[in-house]
Amino acid sequence: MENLLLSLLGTVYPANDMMAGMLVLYAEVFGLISFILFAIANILYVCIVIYSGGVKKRITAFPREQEMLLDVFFLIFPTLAILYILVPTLGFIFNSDFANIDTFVNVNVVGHQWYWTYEYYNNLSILPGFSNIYMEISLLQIDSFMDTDATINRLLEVTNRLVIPAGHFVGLHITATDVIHSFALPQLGVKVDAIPGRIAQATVFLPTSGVYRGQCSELCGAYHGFMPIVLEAIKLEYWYDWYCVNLGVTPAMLLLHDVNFSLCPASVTLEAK
Amino acid sequence: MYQGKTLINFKKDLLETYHLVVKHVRPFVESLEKTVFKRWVWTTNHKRIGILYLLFGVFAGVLSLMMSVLIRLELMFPGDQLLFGNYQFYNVLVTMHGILMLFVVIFPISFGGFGNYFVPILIGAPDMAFPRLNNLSFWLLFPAAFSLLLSAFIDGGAGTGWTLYPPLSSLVSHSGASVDFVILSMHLAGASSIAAAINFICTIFYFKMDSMYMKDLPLFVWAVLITSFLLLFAIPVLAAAITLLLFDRNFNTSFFDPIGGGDLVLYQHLFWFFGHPEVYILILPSFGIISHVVSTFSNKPIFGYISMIGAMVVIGIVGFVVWAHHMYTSGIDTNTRAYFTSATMVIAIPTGIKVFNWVATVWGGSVWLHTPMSFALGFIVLFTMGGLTGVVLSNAGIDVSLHDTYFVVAHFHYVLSMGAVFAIFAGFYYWFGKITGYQYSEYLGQIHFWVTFIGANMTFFPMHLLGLAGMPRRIPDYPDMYSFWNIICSLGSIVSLCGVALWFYIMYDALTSTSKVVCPRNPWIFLSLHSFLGLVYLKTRVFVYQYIFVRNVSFVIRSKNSTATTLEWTINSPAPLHTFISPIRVITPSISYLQYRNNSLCVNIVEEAALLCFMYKDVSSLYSYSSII
Repeated sequence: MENLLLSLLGTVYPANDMMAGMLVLYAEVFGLISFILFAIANILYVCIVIYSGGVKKRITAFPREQEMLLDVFFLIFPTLAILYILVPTLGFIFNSDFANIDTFVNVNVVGHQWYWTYEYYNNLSILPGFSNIYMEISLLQIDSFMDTDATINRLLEVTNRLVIPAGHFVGLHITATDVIHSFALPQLGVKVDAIPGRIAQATVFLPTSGVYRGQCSELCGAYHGFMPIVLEAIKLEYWYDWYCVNLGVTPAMLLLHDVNFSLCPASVTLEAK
Repeated sequence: MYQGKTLINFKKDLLETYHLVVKHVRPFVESLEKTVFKRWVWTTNHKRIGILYLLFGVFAGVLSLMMSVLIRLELMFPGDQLLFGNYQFYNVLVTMHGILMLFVVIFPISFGGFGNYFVPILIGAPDMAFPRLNNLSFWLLFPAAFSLLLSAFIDGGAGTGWTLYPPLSSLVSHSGASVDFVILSMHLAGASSIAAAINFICTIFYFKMDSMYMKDLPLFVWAVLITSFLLLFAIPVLAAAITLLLFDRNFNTSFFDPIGGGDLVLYQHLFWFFGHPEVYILILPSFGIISHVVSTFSNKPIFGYISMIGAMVVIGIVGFVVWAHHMYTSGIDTNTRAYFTSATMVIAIPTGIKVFNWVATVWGGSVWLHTPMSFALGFIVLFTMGGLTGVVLSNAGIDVSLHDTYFVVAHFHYVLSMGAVFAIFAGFYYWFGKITGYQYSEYLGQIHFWVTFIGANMTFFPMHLLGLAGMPRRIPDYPDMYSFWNIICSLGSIVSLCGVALWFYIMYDALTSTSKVVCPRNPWIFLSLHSFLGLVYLKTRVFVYQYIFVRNVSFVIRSKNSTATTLEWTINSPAPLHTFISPIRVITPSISYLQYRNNSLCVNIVEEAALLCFMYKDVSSLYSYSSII
């Protein structure tokens, strides 16, 4: 049923509450605007038929009082329609503000011409016992280029995915180094411009594991269409493994503080295929 | 080659050539100066400048249309189609298509062309207030378009999008001169627009005939007036933004360079403070044209005249405080997004009033579906659709998922390509006879409408679905899942191209066909056969069978007897070069004179025409006053 509805609307399938909320809002607005559009189109069609010049010779203008009344109605009707849309919209806008939420892990997303770099902080609050330590050192740096050899998801496959744990809030700090890019994941309801000199924040929550794809959404030069974003949400325990393997340490080492942080940021960089 | 003695021969040759040139070419150039140049290049006549605007706009429009067709052909199937992987060139095409359509096509046609030609006529003025400024504002448009096109050939072109967002348009990404040329072009177009705007404002305020109050100005004149004010306030902000960008590029300032302490979002604010009124600048003259057409072809005065004017004024004012809805994803905070969402939605109220008033004008009238009316009704439905998707996009909650997708492309093509362009076509067919003196073929006009209607909808409707599925704008190649609707879009663009080709044939046919129809003073007099026969019976006391009538009688109506709602139908077709030299006299009883809404304007038709024939030897005004229906 939901699939049918969504395919009628033509929208993407929502992956989390954020996007589902947007789609509900869209469906609400869509119902109203399609009603108005069909009403106007039908009234005009009826006018063409019954007031056709060949049929109807004498015009019937509205009397002055009716004209004034109708004018008032024409003012009030769009106002009410706008209010009908505006109230849930404002509720949604203020509710979707995740600025103060505690994130489980934070990722720096940096746009380049024409690839993305994901920098994982060593955000030790993810480990038990270290919840009040917050060291902003970029430990793991991943360059995510488009996979030009991909045949299945052409233009949507990357060399290295952005991997996040499912079921936890993930903070994305988004910026760019050269020109403006836009980090977009349609199914997650995320679209944030990556602006050089500014850091934008987005919070992502995915209830289940899965792979979600998006593309750069701000014109950024010749290869604008060729810097896709692939986000993979996996279970937390797998994510620990993935993180530690890519970092070149074992979870125990991380736990026992046995990693030389000063060496880490530049040393661990995944090479592009 | 030439040495010693031969050098003297060379000089001699040169001298002889020079004399030859002087003897043969100079008279030709002089005659050219006397005829073409004097009449068309340094003309100060508002009608000729209007025609120049129209021709230039159509020329640039075809250029821009070709670019859009190239874009659509590139996007017809997944993978590289015909640009051979030259994605910078694709971006250049997108940029040129946008800037040309905004600055050199729609604006010059609907504001410059129809505005120049018809505003002085509609207000009963002899010409524009500053005729030489008028000439300047047209000829500034030429270097603007020229430098814009030039920019595409230098250093790989400007692939920045029409918005010229800085880091991409700064030296880092576009180190050549192409963006400088685009900036120069925008400056020139802006100067031209401001000159035209000042001219219109002065003309409308000071040259309107004495018997007209402001509230009696035709709606097209009101639309042009409000557009002029929007231009006057918006263009300087654009000039500031792009001048700062020019400084960044050439004089090492860092207004928009974060390394030097600049801010990129500042540019977006400045640009969209201009950019949003710009879209109303493009659509307001179209509102005016549509009001005239709907009123004429429904045989009814426009419903809610004052509220129509008020709606346009409100759109103009509110249009200035909604700019950041173009920047919902640029990192503005929640409260700001809430404000701009509310303010943007408020614009839907006056726009809704206008649409409802048009519908109420058609309601109860006597509707004649000639080509202009077809285009006008198409405008109302499709512009409403574009406006309603605008309500969707104004919504900061939904816009996050639709921003910079094809949904946006679909939205602004519905309001511009099917709003402004449909209105331009409506105005074109409505006033074609008045400008050229010949009437177009109604049959071909209807075909043109349907081809354009189907083509445009086929092109742009699937873009909504692409956008909802998440396809980003301005990408030269797309994932395979979007291919189906893209194929439909591209086929639709080819249908639209056929429509434009047909449009040129219609013009060719109307102007050169052997059976061309001379346009009467007012071609829009509608009489059904039935009421016409009744009229004949009343006048002549002879009962005519319909059958006999259809076969044998072609009836002549004196168009002097018909009432006209606006002044352009009281002058000859084509409009003589100088109209309303003698001020218009309004002949009505004093009570009617006070009841302005109900008065009809009776112009000194006969004297003026005779005067013109006498003074200017203008052959065009010698056409008969009568029309054949």
